[in-house]
Amino acid sequence: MQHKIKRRDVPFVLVNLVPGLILFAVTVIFPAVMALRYSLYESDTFIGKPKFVGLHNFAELFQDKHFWSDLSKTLIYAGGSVVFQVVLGIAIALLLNQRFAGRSFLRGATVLPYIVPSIVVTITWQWMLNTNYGVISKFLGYFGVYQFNFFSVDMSMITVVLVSVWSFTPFVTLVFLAGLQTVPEDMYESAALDGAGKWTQFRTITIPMLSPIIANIVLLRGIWMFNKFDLVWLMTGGGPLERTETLPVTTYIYTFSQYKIGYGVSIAVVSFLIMLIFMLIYLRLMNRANGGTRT
Amino acid sequence: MKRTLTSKILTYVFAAVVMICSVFPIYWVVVSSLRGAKYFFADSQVLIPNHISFEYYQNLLRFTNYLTYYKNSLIVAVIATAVSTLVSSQIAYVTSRFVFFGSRWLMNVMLIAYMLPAMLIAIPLIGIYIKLGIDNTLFALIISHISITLPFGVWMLDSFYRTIPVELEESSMVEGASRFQTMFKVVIPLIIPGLITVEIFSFIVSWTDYTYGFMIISSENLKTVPVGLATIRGAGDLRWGELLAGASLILVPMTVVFSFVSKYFIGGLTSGAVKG
Repeated sequence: MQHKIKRRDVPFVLVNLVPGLILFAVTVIFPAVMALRYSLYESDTFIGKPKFVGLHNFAELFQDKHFWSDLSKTLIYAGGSVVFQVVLGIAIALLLNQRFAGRSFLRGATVLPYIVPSIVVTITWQWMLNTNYGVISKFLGYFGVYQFNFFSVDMSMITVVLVSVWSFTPFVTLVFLAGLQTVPEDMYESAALDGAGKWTQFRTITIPMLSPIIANIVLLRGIWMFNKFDLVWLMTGGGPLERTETLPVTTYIYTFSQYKIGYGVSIAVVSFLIMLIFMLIYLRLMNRANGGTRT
Repeated sequence: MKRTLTSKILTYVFAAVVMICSVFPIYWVVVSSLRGAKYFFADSQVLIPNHISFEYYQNLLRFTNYLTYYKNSLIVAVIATAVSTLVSSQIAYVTSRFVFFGSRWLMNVMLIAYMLPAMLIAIPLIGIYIKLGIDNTLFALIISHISITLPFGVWMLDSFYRTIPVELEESSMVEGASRFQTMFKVVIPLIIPGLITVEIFSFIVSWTDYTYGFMIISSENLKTVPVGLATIRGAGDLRWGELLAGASLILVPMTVVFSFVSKYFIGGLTSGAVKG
């Protein structure tokens, strides 16, 4: 399929590669390298001359109680929302993979939350969950629960996780749906002939067939949720009492509200390193599972 | 597969629950925005409205820069989508057809780039924009959006190109077409489903972006819809009716447009993304 570049292909390759790579280098590689540099400096503006402090920002960070508690909140947020997304994603994908009237309509409808911008997600759910006028508060009233505050100190994290699940599950569903479509139908048929029930088929065929995708999704979504800024920031701003202050929110607050740019960026750098560790573990597991063939 | 009646009923019940969870919040925002000040709080929990009023829409358009935000969002999303689709289709063609020094490394860097914390890139990027004097411009915002959509596009289209047999190109080139002609006349038409998927994805990313817009844009007349709507929300007294009207003006067109393209988007994602 692929071959080495021959001399006469050089202009073609350059024309196609160079503009995009310059763009990529300027907008991704260069800022990423700059981030490492920023984290070694102390600065309160983007314009002035920063002061070199070596690894001081990191030393300060690791002694910062705030950082550790925010890290644990981030892990709770990312972990919680990924677990729900995967479980619901599989369930809905199984549903959408069946034949029933209105399936293609439902497929389109389930993707809708995915295209809703985070600010609209925020407005939507803050309105629906509003203590006095929210439709969900009214619904809870039927069960004898009145004046429930979804954004209280104890509830806010749960609420943010659930709203994130509403917003981000559709993408996971689509990926699982794609995975299900690669499972050959006759595997189920022969299992059914052997007398396997639905649940056994699910356990012995569906889950093993989907397991590489599940691993993929858990990792990629985990990283993605770990880095999620906009929804958390818009829903709660990190409050109340910093209960939903995840690391991206902390990074923003340090950098733009407290003007500790170097310190803020060092949090982003550490976040990335944590993600990198997860990714390396994942690649190791993948390689082992596939006998080292997959990269 | 044969199914019993109970499992059939369960399927439909589950389908109905999924349907309600996906669509009801959107319906609710639109319905609430149409109640008008007179019934807004009084009828706030009435499922099907008896009165319809466009009062909040009039307020929104009269007292805020909503239309400007809308225009800015469209400019940014259209340009970011066009550029990132073009550029990623070029890069992916090369990576899918040629092996060269660092080609494998390039794909891995693109994957890692897709997973970098937004803050890690955004903060230095703003520093760079400030130094270049292009902070607070739509140009800077467009470039930033491309930094997110480009790696995705390359990964997606790389897997699409790989499904096309090289023989097709070879025979076209044997007939005397250059590589450029072959790429545009033979290969590109075959990956149109992939291009549509990348276009929809890029558009969604750019159109829904809050993080970059929030950090890069400060002038009122350059704000995009998500940033502008967040500004309206943050401005002193919380005006639910106008906010819900603003949200509806995003939700309704997107739902309508998406209902036409969702087939391609779902098809494209389900055939390309997973193999990557």
